Amino acid sequence: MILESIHLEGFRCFDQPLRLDGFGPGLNILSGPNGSGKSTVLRGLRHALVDSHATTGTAVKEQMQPWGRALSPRLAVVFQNGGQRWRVEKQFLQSPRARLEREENGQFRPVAEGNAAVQRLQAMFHADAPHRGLAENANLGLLQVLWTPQGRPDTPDWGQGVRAVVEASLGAVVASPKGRAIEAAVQSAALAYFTPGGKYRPSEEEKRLDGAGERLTQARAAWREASARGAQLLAVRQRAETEAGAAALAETKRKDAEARVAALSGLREKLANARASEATDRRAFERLRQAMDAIGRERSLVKELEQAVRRLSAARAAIELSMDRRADLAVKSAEFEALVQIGNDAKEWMAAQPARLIVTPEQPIRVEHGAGATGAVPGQEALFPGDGIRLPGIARIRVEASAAREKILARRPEWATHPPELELLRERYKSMKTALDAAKAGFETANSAAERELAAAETVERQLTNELAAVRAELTQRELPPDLADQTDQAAIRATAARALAEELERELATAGGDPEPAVRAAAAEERAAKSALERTLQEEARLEGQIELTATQNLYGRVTELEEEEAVLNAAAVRYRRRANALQTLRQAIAAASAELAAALPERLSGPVSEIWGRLTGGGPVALNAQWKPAAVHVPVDHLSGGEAEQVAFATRLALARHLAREERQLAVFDDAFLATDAARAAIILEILQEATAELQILILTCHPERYDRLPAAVRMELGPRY
Amino acid sequence: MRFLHTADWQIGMKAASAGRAAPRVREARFAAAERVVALEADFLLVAGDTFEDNGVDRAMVERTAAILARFRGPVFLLPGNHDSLVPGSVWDHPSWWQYANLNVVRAAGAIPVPGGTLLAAPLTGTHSRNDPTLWLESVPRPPGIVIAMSHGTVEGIDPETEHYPISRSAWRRAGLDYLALGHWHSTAIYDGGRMAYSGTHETTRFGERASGNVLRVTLSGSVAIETLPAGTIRWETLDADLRGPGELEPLRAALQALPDESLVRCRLSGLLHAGDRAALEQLRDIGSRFLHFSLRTDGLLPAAGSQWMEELPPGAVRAAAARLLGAAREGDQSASDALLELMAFAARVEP
Repeated sequence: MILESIHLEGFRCFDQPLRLDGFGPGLNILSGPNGSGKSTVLRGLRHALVDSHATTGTAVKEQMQPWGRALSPRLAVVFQNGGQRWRVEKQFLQSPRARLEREENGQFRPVAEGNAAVQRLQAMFHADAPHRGLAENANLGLLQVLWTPQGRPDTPDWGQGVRAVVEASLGAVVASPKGRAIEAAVQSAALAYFTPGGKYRPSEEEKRLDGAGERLTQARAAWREASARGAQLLAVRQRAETEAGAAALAETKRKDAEARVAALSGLREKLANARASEATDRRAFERLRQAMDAIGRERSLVKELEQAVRRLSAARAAIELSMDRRADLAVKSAEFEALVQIGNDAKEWMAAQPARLIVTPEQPIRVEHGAGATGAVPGQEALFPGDGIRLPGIARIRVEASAAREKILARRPEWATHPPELELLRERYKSMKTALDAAKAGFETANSAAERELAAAETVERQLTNELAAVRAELTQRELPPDLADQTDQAAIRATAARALAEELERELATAGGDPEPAVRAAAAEERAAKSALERTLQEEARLEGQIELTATQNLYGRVTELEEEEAVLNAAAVRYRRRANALQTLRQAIAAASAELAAALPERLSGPVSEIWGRLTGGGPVALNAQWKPAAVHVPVDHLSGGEAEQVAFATRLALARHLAREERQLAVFDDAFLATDAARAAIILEILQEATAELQILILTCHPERYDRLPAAVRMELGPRY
Repeated sequence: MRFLHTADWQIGMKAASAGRAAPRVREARFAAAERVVALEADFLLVAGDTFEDNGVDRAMVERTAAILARFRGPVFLLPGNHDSLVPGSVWDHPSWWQYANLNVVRAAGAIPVPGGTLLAAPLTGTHSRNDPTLWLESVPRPPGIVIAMSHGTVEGIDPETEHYPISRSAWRRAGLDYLALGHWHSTAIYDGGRMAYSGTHETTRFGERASGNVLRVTLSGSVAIETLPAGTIRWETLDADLRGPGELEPLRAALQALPDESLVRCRLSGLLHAGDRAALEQLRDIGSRFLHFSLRTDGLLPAAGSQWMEELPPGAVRAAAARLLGAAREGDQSASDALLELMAFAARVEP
């Protein structure tokens, strides 16, 4: 832009209007003493071109209003830009307004008012709107480069806008106008999807999607819940059936338990009765049995007595028999005596018999009788002692024997024909003797036993007779029924039956499992629980039926359908939007990356003009610029330079950049007391350089030392007087 | 015996793929139903999925019942897997008792129909691995013509999936004269017409091969099936894989030939030549007259080496184009889209 005039009114030190006209297209020097308002003019120019008229606040007042005056600052600037003349008018604080006019056919005509005017101006200078308040240096766009503020001309961190503009300006060296137009079109299209700061702007569909999604989630949940109710109802109905069965079963169980209680009670009663009956019958039986026992004992005693009598008779008979035996024994004893006499006679007889001696050496002499019997001769041993055998007296023996025989025959004439046989007699003797001894012993034994038996029988008979008398006396005392046996049997049967019944009842009670009352209570509780559960289930069934009926009328599925379709439509639109946003972002980034690659080569390209200016000023070598387009080093690192040299290298950098910015269109470069540390020799060179730079730049120098610029005769000079 | 066999009306269905035309798609199903009931036959079988869901608007239930009631003969409706017979289902609505000719199959069994007997059993759940026709084999075969109606999937699908699998020979095994099926939305006739899917009466989605029909079946010893069109809305998918310049032209012609009552899904892939960019825009213009039109260019890449890239201004823009082309060839969808955008900008922006 090229400045033509500026009008300030009610602004800082200019409470009275100040109008500066006639700025030339080349060098302009605005001079005045300290406090004359030179920098205020520059600040007014900045507010007029960049700041919003609507900016308010204490800081704004302090920076704009005259001290102690509540005036509304008014600024007006006429300038050229883009080959056209423009006029901007702004009023701040009270009744703020802004208007941008363009000259058409010799007259300024409004092209934008208010914010639109502000934005249009900001766009001209690629400036940013500050977040709040007045513009900072970083918001100034091209002006950050072109306008060197009062004091030391440093090289600040160029704002993003500056970098973009300068890169674009430098890029234009290799890019055609169509390339820039495409980039601008891409940027413009991208601005529909992203903020200038690059933040994604969600589409209306995307914004609505969140709400739609939420509504759909809710609708689906309601629909699923409603859809599930049919199955729930089926399950509940099945459960109700099961629970009804369980309730009926519980009721039956309870009734059974109650019946068991009643039955057990009856059983116990029966048991008590049975036990009482048993006791009664048993007592009756006992009495009857005792009577029966007494009768039995009487009968037994009678029988025993009869036996005792029989025994007594037998004993007496045995004694009589014993007497008979004694008589018989006497006979047998007489017979035996007779036999003994015979025997003795026989012995004599035998002794009187001719005998034949049998003499055997070394053996006793034996006499052999005529009958052939043999035997030793008693006393004959003595007859043959030692070796000498002598038989004296044989004849005498024989004589004596004969005499003896005669004598015997006198008693036993039969022996004359039938001599006795001694051996037979002996045998008979022995036999009779044995028999007689046995008979004697038998008699004595039998007699003795019979007597003992008789005594014992008599004792028993007496005892039994006494006992029988006692039993009969006892029986006489009892009143015995005529059918005692039957009654006893019946009593026994009754007692046994009662006992069997009692035992059966006891077994029954034992198997009944103890006290049935808890079972009744448990069954009743179970029944109540089952019926209660059934009741709840039936209520749930009714509730579900009601809900199903209700939800059937709510068209929940239709709602889901509508929302799903809405979501699909929104989603499709959002996808398309995001896809285009991504495409534009990708395109923008690709162009930016390509630009960055090109820009990466820029510091080297920029350093040429900077080095040229620096060389003219100092005679020094090349200036190295860093990626931020700031001087990094000359022959030494820049932070080792003197104040004047630092001022000069910053000037060289700014001027070189300004020349690039002015490549397409002349621009206003301002230096506000920017060379205070520069010596006179180098200041002279700066003036030469500035003089040359007027080929591309309108230059405005603000200074309180106008004499330093006396060597610039072509410069337009303006002077401000002291303000107070 | 002559009867109509239809199924899968899917009344109240969602049509998210139809975009803003979804209500129109739903409405068209009623119009198609009107055309079905206007046909001549002794009776009408609806073999399941009359409704999309048991939760559909009850006004739709009433309207459907009223349409069916206009059929000049008895109507037999089978609850399918979408509208299974459960408490609170559409079949609880009083409309089904309001009209004398409407008969909802509520239990498995034999139902007398004009000229014979119908065997049918309602579906009582959304999913099952059980063959819903197995029970037919154990039913004593009544005298005369015996037909059956069922709903499920005839083979061709994993039997483990829960879609009511039906044997390919179900009709023969059950000794039926005809087995009317529902579930698949395209018409399919098996074994000379002894078993068939009528398909839906009005197409429900993209990709259905032969939907939008109703079958009229005539049984008299032999079987004769007429496939009668009932649907109106066309669901068209047009795909094109572009290679050379000018290849959008056949697609444009195909689009122009379609009626307005169409839902059109167009998918482009391959290479877009600079000369076809305008034709691409034309497709959008043509598509605007359809009920719904979507054009996907995901798979489309500006043809490399074509003149438009060489004509890009030198500097950052041309360098960016080269950079994007490399990324697009690597499969970067966003780079591909960016390149298409650049193509459009380059065409629009004047130097």
